[in-house]
Amino acid sequence: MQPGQFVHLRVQAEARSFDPLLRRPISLADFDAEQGCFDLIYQVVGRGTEILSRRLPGEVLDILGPIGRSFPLPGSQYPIVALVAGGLGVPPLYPLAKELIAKKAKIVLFLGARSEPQLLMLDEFAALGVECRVFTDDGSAGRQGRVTEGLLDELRALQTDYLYACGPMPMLRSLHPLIAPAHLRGAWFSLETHMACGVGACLGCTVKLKEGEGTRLALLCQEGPVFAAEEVSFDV
Amino acid sequence: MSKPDLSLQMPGFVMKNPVTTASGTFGYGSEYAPYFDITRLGALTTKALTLAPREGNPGRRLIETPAGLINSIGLMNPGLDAFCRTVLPDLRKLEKLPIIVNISGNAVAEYAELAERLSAEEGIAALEVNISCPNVKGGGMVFGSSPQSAVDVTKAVRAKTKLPIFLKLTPNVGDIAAIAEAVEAAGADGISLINTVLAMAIDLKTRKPILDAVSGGLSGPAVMPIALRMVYQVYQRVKVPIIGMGGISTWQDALQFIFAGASAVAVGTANLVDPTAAVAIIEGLENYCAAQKVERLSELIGAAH
Repeated sequence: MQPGQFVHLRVQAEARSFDPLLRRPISLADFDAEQGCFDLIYQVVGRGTEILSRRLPGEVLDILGPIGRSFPLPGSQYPIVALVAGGLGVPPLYPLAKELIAKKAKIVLFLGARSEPQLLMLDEFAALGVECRVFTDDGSAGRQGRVTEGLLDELRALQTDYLYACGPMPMLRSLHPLIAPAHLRGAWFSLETHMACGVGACLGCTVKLKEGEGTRLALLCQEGPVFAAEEVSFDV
Repeated sequence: MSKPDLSLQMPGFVMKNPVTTASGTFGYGSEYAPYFDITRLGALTTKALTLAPREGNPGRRLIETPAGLINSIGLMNPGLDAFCRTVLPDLRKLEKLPIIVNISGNAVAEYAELAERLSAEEGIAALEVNISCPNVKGGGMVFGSSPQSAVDVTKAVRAKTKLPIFLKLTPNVGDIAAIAEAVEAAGADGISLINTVLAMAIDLKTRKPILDAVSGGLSGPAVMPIALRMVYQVYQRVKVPIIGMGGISTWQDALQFIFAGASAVAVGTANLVDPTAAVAIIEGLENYCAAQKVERLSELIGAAH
């Protein structure tokens, strides 16, 4: 298990049930490799997650995984790292933060959400010694506004070495143009898209990447979910 | 009784059991190798191959539906040259696993060229000819939608290859048995059916179709009763073997298709939910035959007629 990976799980207990048909990919929010256990944090957004939320402690979950390429870690010690997350994007950054702390990283988490109740895991990050800067659309906590507002200046002021981001595509689209001028050593985005098989066979989970002067389509479940920020294409 | 015999004599090759993969759901096999020994399959039917590489559709490709999946992948594949150079050598290494290569084209000449060039390659047991593609020169009408255009493709492929050819039929027609009859007469060694059912979904927020191409192909358990009915009808009208597919999830589903007249079955969408679905079906069929004292599963083909 590595930070940035996900598990692909059947939400219902009954083997023969087709409601819903497909597995759901959910990122690892925390894990203990020695104990062989992990945590998932998810929001109930539709039928699949609604069924999952009614499962009981002690039940067995049918999962595939962990799947996907994890967040690459900095090579050196004492890196200055910015974590940028929107809404439900924050969980996969938590196990990443733990590994960065082991490299003696100074970490600042920029966390944005619509409103105060959607801000997740602030206590957990703070307990690691991560400085948390919070933004809400409605001003109910932290600064009112988007997590990307004024971010370039902040990244420069911190002399940021590395940036990792996870969140909705509009947030990543706003963040993308800030990456080059921030002169980082490395920046990575964790993307998401609709997924069926999770093993690289159905070719359903493609995302657009830059390639030379043009673009190419890559399978999220095989090459992702983490991609170098400069590779991600936001062309429509 | 000794172990039941699940084997099947197909034109030109033998399958150790009647289970193959539905093209497009199993890649070229290697993706599933971590989950089970894929040489246990009766055959492996590859993702559709086109002459030129295809990137496929750039936008959304998947929509989950009740007990189904609409796909709009767009025939993403590396193209014939890359397939022969990089994929086929690995497929040849799979022991005792017949490889059925699915071919797709937008013109009769493309099908013919694919057939000719693949016939020169070692390691291919049969071709599955996907005629659910639009005939770009024929105003975009899908080849499989009329007996005449289906026959045109069949004849062109037949002329270029001695490999067994299975014509894969589209269900989006009024009389699929007529098309089956016509392609059999034109030289098909077998018939595969069904391909996906044309379907769509509309986004409640945008009020527009979800897919860029508006419609995609529906597969999965939702289509099984449709596919089954079509296999039953086709069996009444042709003598060549049928590979039946469409929503098969369990060995019981596979049995329904065999009773309807399928000699072999293909497992498709079920693989996307459970990577070991095909092997569970093979074992289920074995256990059924043992319990029912059926010595050879092939005795049961068409039992429902």
